[in-house]
Amino acid sequence: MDLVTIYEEKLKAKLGAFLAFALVVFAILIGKLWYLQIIKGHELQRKAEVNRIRIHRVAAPRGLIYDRNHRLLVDNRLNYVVYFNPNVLPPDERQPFLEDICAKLNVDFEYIKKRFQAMTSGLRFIKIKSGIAREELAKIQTWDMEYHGEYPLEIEEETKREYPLGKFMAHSLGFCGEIDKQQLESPEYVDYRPGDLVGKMGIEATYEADLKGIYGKERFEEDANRNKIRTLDSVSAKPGDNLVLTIDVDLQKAVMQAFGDTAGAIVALDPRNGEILALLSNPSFNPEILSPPVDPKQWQQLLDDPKSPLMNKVIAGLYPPGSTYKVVAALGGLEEGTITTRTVHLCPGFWNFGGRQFNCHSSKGHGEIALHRAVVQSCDVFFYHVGHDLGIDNLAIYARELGFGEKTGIDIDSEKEGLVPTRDWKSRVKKENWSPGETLLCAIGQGYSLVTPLQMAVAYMTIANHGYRYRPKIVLRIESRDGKVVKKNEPELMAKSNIKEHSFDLVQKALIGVVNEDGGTGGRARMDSILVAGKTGTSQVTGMGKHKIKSSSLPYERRDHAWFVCYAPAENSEIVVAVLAEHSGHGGVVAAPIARQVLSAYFSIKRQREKGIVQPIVDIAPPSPSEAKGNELD
Amino acid sequence: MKIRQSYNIREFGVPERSPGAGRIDRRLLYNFDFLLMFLIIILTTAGMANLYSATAVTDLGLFRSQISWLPVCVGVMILFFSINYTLLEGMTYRIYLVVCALLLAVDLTGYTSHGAQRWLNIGLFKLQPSEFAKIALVLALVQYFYNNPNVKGYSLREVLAPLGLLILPFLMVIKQPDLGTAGLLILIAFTLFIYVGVRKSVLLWIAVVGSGSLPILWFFILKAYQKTRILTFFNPDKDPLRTGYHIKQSLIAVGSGRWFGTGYLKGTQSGLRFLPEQHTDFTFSVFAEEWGFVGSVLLLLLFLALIGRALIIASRSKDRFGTLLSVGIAALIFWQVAINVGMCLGIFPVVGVPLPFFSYGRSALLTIFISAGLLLNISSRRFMF
Repeated sequence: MDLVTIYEEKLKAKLGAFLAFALVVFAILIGKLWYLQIIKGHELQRKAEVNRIRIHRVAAPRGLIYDRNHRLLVDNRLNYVVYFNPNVLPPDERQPFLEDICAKLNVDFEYIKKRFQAMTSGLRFIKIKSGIAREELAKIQTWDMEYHGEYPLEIEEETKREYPLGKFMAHSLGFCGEIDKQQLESPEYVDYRPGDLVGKMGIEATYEADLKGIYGKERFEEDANRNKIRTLDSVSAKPGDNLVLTIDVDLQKAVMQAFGDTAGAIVALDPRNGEILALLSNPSFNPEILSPPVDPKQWQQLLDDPKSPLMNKVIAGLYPPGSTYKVVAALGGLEEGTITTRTVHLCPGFWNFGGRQFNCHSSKGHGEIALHRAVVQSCDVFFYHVGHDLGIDNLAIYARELGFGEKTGIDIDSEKEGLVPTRDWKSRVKKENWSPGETLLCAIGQGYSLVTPLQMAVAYMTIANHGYRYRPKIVLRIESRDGKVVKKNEPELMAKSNIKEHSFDLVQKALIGVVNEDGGTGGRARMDSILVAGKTGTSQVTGMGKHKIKSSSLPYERRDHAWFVCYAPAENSEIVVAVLAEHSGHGGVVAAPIARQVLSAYFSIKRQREKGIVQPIVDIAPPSPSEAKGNELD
Repeated sequence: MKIRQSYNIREFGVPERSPGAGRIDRRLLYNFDFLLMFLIIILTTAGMANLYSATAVTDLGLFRSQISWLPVCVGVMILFFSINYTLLEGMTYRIYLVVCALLLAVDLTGYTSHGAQRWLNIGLFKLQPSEFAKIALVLALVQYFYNNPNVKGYSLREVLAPLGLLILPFLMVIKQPDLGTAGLLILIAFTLFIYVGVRKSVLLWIAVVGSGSLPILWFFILKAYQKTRILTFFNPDKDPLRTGYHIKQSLIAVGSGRWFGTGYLKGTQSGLRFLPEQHTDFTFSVFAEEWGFVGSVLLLLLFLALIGRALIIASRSKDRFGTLLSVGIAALIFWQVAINVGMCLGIFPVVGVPLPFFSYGRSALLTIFISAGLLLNISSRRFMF
């Protein structure tokens, strides 16, 4: 064999080694393929989906709110919100990214960081900035290119609530705010994200589920440059339903003007069905201030205001009812037979009972007085006797007959139930025995009794209806966006009192007398054409006095609350008005004229409506400063 | 270039040229390597179909220009098949020098794209001489080892000349810079060195000098982007949105193919342009996503069959030149497939080596068809001496 052959044989022998080497390398390649496609395939496929499929949450416009004549009270304005999706970035890159984005968006990074830490459980989306206008959005969208692959920002449309009437209806409408951590953790808010708007008060809160609508979802495919290629599927957002309120803006306006800047509450409702026609808690607040972002200074100011502008005093303000409560003793006495129309008590201006002197508001006294005039003139001594004869527990029974001591069931949140004291209550809560003197105080609406202005309106509704008590309501019906009625809030009878018709008749006559008879405490509510029935009340904030002190000489927070509750027309009444003016003096002087203004506004609006006139909402005038409320009347 | 003749050329001699060289005779067709032809056709078809898918959303013009170039490639393949390869023996150095001249021209006047000066505009199309450098280097080295057979293994002095043959195009290619091709030239050359047999001392020397020149390469020759690519390869998560993005997206595309793939033209990552350079560097990722594990393994087996066939041709070849040339071409194909696929699978840094028959690039396609023509040539002439 020559050398050439040896060499060539040698060369050819090495071919096998080459092939073996190639096989090994290809085996490695196939092994890696197996690892990527078979072992990690599922995970990488999911990443591929993340790459290309984006799920965009389509905001559902929140429902609008109208008054009973379909005039817009709450509107939406379109905004954009930028969210940060922390899931996209590895943990150590989240903060630098956020810092960068915050600098670009001119947002305080520390604030976002705090929220980020507070909300980080479950790594939901973090709202970075809201209220972004379209032009700014366009700028933000150009940044997309820098983070291709996975993009940690999400942009969403958001509707900002607008309350064109401002303070005008703040308490009934309420406001929206960002969902808080507590809500986020509760199951009913499971489809909310941090930063989502949620009704925080009033109708916005109570009807959250109706107003909110259902978020839509759009799944679409994007290319690497984040261009939308095609929509894979989408569930369109279902706008929230609209609410039509029972409120009549015209009457609301009249209420506001009548009330001026007096602190207190006023509510007008229709006794035939419980519809709230006007509702005002004074002072009010501007709901725009409470829309996020909330200025902490302004928020604190609202919280610190001694006149509690944030509280809806109509439903949550607890006041001693004063003389307006005398109807309870009157009805109780008549029902239990402790009094009749002929029962006469002597009022010398006081009653010494149990070693203590209980004064009548009239120091001169009313002389010999029976039920009718006792109501008309609001004689305290007469009702001390009635109360004493009935006993506290009977008083409580008839208070509850009129709806005191329980929530009226109005469809706004945070209603208070007030307090109807009993022997049992005192021993349970105060760990003390009931003293008979306290019964006397309760009979004239002082002492432990606490009521809300709405309860008062409901009690007088019961009297006006001779026993029929409806649930007060502020939403007339729920409509879908295209105007179809989704749900109608039908009148709901809460209770039918067992009190005899005759007793109601007697009390009603007396209430008519209060307004219309000479010497009646509610004369300032008298109207020329309409028969008004009502009752004044002057509830003392300080203890029922041994010494009679003029209220106006006391410091503001210790002055009397002025009450006036009325309904009209006395027969077949259409409207109940309850007025509570805080620390402002005598019910007949301060509250009755306000009620009269509301009543006259109501009937003039009614005449307009009968002619088919509904004026559009123009600028609602700010409340005029309260006028001088005349002389004190005893 | 003057090549020093080996001392034992007389003992070995150089075979007489075959009298029928240059003419197609019946034996040529009788011995035609249909299996190789079948592999070439099927790989070309798959490559073209995949290129269509890869460019369908980006730029179908790329696909059109590639497929319209195909007839030229086939023509050149037939040319390289029909001329008896033994005729090449006298031309290899000249081909080598022409290609080196082209590389020099690129360095002086070349057309720049993607920050690298690789292309030479010759009117009809832009020529990428670094692609031709691969086959030219193979031819020159084969020529040298054919002229200088050595049973005992080449000594250091004897490999200086082939090292020179390697270093000249290597330097010009790396200056462009084209790290992938430069690396490929080294791999092809070393494969041939080891195949023909060099002494252990030579390997040692090469290892010492090679590792000594690495810092020079790193600090003076490599561009910043090339360094980043290499660094990224070792730590792809470090900068996932920029350089590591390429590798990550490629892995996602490959992985989401799973068993059977998303289906032809249904690749989500390529279709939506998440894959970078999907018609060149990452064309295999497109294929892997659309055809899955089964398709990818099949493709790799086809490439393996092609390499295996080249090695069989080498073993059947009646002369040493054919054997060496077949091995050189096998190495050329093997390293390109291994590096490109390894790159797509994240086991090799992104260096820009085309996948034969698949990657877009007319010079690359022409080179692979020249190689294929030469293989067919050697295979069909195995009984002709």
